[in-house]
Amino acid sequence: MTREPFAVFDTDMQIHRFCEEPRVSAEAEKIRLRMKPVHSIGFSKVEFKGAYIQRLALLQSKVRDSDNIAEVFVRVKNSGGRREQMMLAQLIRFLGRESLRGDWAETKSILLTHLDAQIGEAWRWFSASVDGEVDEARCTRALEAPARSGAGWNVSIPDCRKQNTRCRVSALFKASVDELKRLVAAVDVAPESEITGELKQIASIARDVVATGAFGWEGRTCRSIGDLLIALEAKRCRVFVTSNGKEHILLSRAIDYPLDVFKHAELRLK
Amino acid sequence: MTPFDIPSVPVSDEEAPNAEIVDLFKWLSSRADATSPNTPPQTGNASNVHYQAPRIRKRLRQARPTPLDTAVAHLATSLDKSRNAIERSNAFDAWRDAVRAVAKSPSAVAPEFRELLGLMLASTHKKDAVDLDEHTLAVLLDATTRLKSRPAAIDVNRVSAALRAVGARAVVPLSVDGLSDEVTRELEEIIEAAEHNRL
Repeated sequence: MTREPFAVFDTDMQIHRFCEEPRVSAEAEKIRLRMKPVHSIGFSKVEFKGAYIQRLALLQSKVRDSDNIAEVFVRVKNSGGRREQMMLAQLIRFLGRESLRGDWAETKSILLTHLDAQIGEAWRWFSASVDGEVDEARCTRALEAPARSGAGWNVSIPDCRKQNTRCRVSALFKASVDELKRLVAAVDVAPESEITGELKQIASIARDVVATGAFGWEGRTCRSIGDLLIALEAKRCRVFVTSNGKEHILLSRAIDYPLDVFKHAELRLK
Repeated sequence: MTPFDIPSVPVSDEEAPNAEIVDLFKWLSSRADATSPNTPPQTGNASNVHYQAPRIRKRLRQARPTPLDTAVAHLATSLDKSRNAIERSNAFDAWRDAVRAVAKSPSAVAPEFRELLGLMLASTHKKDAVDLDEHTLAVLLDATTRLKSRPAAIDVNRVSAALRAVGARAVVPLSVDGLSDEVTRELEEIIEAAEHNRL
């Protein structure tokens, strides 16, 4: 197979570049420079919207609608969880706690100023921060940027239906039947300990496509097998970089693409 | 109306605090000179001469600079190479203070306005004037000027692209994956304080 000259970053690699922990983000940037040119996959924007942008929008909504900082944190925890509270705490840490000790109206304005900026800028940054994009599937959802909706944002990811989707993911899967057959065979012989929940789902979809020649894309199928979709798009790249070894080690053997696993956990300062 | 007719004007400081104080007799003289230099003011005929109180204030509309006007002026100073380094640094800090004050204002509600403010503040966070080149300062000046006239999404996109083009980063790292234990502890402290309504 003739390989493309670029590397591909998985969604999580882009998110690591957003990490406050300097060793992780600095190392991710070093890898990006070392492997230049680096592309992302179009569908990664959908994953990024779900994993990062939607969380920012939740914070913006709760700040906008609350009467004090305590209420914000309670509502964020109830609506999201600890992780989302940590994101808001990150923003407060970045701005400096002292700068937010004024009255609530001022604190709210400052937080909203930054959250509004970050929702839009993170989305723009995602594509601008790599050298190109692979998008054989022509994902429709990936084109849907966060949109302002009154004082808030619409960051929903609608279920895919015939009326709202114009992608070519079916064609991508039909053209990848040989890879899917190898994948099914690899999952069938792999030790149980290597088979994650997502790999089981991936194998199930792959068997259907091999058997019927059709990919049931409607609804949220692509989001449930994002690793497979990204792997199929990245299969011709020079190297695929991810911190998600759990699924991609098996996928890369079956589909045949060079893999570089980013061991970010080892970089954390204790 | 005769040259000596005085138009009705506010007479109290409360009504026109910015008004210029006009000396009645000088004003009358100037009106007389304008019409007939050699004609003395008419006197004795009450129907022709109208007197107001001795102090007359004309209402003047003086444009007061807005906080954004001030911010633009500070940044322009920061870009002015004829100024010394300290002056330029102080001007940049004053710009940032002015923009932060705007960000604190509850009236800064339009999303695009906040986005633009947020981009400028995030891209200059913990930066001094010496850390930024003239291209970056020029982008910030353009962005601050755009704030003055109801920015739209296109303004936000242009400023975002312009900041990237000069290497200024406006994204803030907020991912919580892979945080060190020290940072995690600090964030947990912030959360606990916030949950008790104090930061």
